[in-house]
Amino acid sequence: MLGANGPESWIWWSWVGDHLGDIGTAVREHLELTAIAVALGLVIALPLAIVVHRWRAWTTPVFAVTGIVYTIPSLALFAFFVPVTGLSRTTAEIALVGYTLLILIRNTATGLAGVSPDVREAAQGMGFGPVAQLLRVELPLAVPAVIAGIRIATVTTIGLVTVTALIGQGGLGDFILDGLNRDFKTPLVVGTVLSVALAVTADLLLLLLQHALTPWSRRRTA
Amino acid sequence: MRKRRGAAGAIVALVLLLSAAACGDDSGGGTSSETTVAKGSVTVGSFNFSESVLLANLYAQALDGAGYKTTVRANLGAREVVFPALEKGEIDLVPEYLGNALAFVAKDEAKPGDDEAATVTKLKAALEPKKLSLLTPSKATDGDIIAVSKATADKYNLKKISDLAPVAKDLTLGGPPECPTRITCGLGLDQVYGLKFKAFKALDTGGPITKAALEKDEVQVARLFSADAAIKEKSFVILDDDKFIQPAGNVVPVISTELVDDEITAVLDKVSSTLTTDDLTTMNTKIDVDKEDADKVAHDYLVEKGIIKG
Amino acid sequence: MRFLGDVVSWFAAGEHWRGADGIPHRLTEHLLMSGAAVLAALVLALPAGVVLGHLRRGGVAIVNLANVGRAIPSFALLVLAYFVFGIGPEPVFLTLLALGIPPIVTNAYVGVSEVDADAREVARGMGMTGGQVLRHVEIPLALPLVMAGVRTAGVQVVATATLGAVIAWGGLGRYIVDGFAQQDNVKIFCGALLVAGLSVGVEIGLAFLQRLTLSPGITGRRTTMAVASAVPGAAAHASLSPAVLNERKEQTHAET
Repeated sequence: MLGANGPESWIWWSWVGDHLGDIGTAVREHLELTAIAVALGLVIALPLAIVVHRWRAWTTPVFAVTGIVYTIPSLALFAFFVPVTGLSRTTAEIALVGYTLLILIRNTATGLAGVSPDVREAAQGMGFGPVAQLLRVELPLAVPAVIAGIRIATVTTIGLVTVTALIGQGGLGDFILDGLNRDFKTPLVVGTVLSVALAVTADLLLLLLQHALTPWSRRRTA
Repeated sequence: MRKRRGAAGAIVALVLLLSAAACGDDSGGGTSSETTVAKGSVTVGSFNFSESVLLANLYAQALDGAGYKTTVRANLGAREVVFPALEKGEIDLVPEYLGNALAFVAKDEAKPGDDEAATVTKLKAALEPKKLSLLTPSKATDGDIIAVSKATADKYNLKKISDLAPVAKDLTLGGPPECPTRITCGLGLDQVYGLKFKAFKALDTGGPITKAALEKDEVQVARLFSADAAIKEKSFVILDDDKFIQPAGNVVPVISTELVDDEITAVLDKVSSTLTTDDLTTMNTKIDVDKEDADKVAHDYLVEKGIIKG
Repeated sequence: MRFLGDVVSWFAAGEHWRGADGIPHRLTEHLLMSGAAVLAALVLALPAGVVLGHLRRGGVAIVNLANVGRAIPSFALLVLAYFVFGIGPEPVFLTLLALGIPPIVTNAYVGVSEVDADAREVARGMGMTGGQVLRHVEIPLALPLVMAGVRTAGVQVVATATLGAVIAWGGLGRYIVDGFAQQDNVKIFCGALLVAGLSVGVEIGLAFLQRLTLSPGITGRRTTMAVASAVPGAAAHASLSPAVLNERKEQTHAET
């Protein structure tokens, strides 16, 4: 147990030192996959949230579909698309984007719905049409809820990206898989610790962003 | 409106910041180099076990040293994944194993008892219509083998695979997930030897999970590789393949025909002819036990043998 | 499309319903493992969460535990467990247990500790001891949230059990992992369908159970609630469990 630090240790420090470049690449790939998924998720979720907000009838179908997608385990969702789009980044991103939708739509819609009727009336009184109302009043006021949604979606996605290693995509999941395949503890530990670190850091940074953008609301966030 | 654009801008900036912070050097698992003499580019693929990654690196680095632009795509998967990729041109070169390749490409052609020469002829013929070429096989072999623990061998007095016939129903077979569908593995044990095992457990491709399972008696019979130093180390007993379902395990490059010319053949043949089974076993140990990187082990070997400069 | 035809054929093939690799066996394996893990998590986490919630202690620790738990990728946890415990069901069970505990303990804690202060005060005022308050007021009112925690845990456990196949376990994930190795797209797709179907089924089932635990005073009879809330104290009456209401009736009768 107290042997020299080496290949059998949980963290073989000299291996870590030798592989900083690979680690950096993996972190970058991991962040790329996450950023693309959340960004694309937003692009799809924002319009859908607006639709759900304006036309209530759409609530059930939109949430039913995104809810089902969210419930499906990640490996299975990737597996659905592999026969279609192969072992590619596209497959990974389709599934990752799918997972962000429920959270992003729900949070955005909640944020939009949370705009008080008084504010709406005031905007109408000032002569804003429905579009202007949406863009200049409702969406800005929904920002805290949207960012809270982005926070949750980002942390969730960072965890899910590790599974994409099973369909040949990079990121920190590669280190975890490598550890499994080679009976090698160090890359496993490095991959795990960095995934958690990334998730916690992203969560904190986005929380700071949320507070920075909404100086008028200092509510206690969970 | 300003707040919303601000929000979007801040998010983008944040992502860029995080990406920049995470940027390390792009170090190569694969190799690629700029060269003054314009030679073709070659993508070398490998199967999903460490020896294959090693071989891919050996061939790729040799080509690299001769001025080719090479890329190594390691751990693509089993032959079921790699061979179609080769056929489609997604990869150009795969370090194959003679008998297994034939069993996969033309399973009706493979006959038990075929020697190396016969296998070469048949494989060449099978590959030709797919626009693939077979180069000269190496003397280094790493074949599929069926092994049991010493305890199991002693208990049932097992020396060859046929000895399993009366006891298979009490034993569990362990191997890679594709084993039950392969004539060189589970399918062959069933159809050629008539062995009906109690159960099959999907593990990995002769890797640490399979070896651990055999050691811990989670499975009693396992599919391993002959050039694995762990066999001797853990006192596993290799059962003799008396009905010849395990084909010749000579390492041999399979390459896209359009890339074949005298020069590339010479480079690749040099690696093949230098490699011995002992070399393979030694390098496998370095990778599996000492956890050295395959590309480094390959590099050191090629330098030591004078195939590339250090 | 021919692919869909192949999918249907795969499900129709008799051999896929027999033996150790058959659908019934893999499904049972998956469900038993998930159920056992959630049950074990309940046994470990529920009492702890309820008691701590009642005492209103340890909230910070619990929230942090849950956050850290959420940040660890389940895939990594599974492989770590494999390194410590080898192959077989043990590492899968322990990982699933570890994943199931945070949502159950958090929701139990929040559910019990956040019970309406008025309801608790009314109960105290009626002379209930701490334990009785817990049994008759806090737990029934916390039940929906606790069930939500069980639901979250259940869905997550079923999902992660799919990954068990990567460390040589069984379950429905086996079809996906083996399908990848054998390059059998039909198997991959069918495995995914089975897993998706099970997950959605579990989610719907647990959601239904959750609905059942909502006390009638909260779900139905909205007008009664609206009227009752106008009368101080009567609001508490409307949200107390039937057991307490009976006791109260007896008390009132005794007084007159």
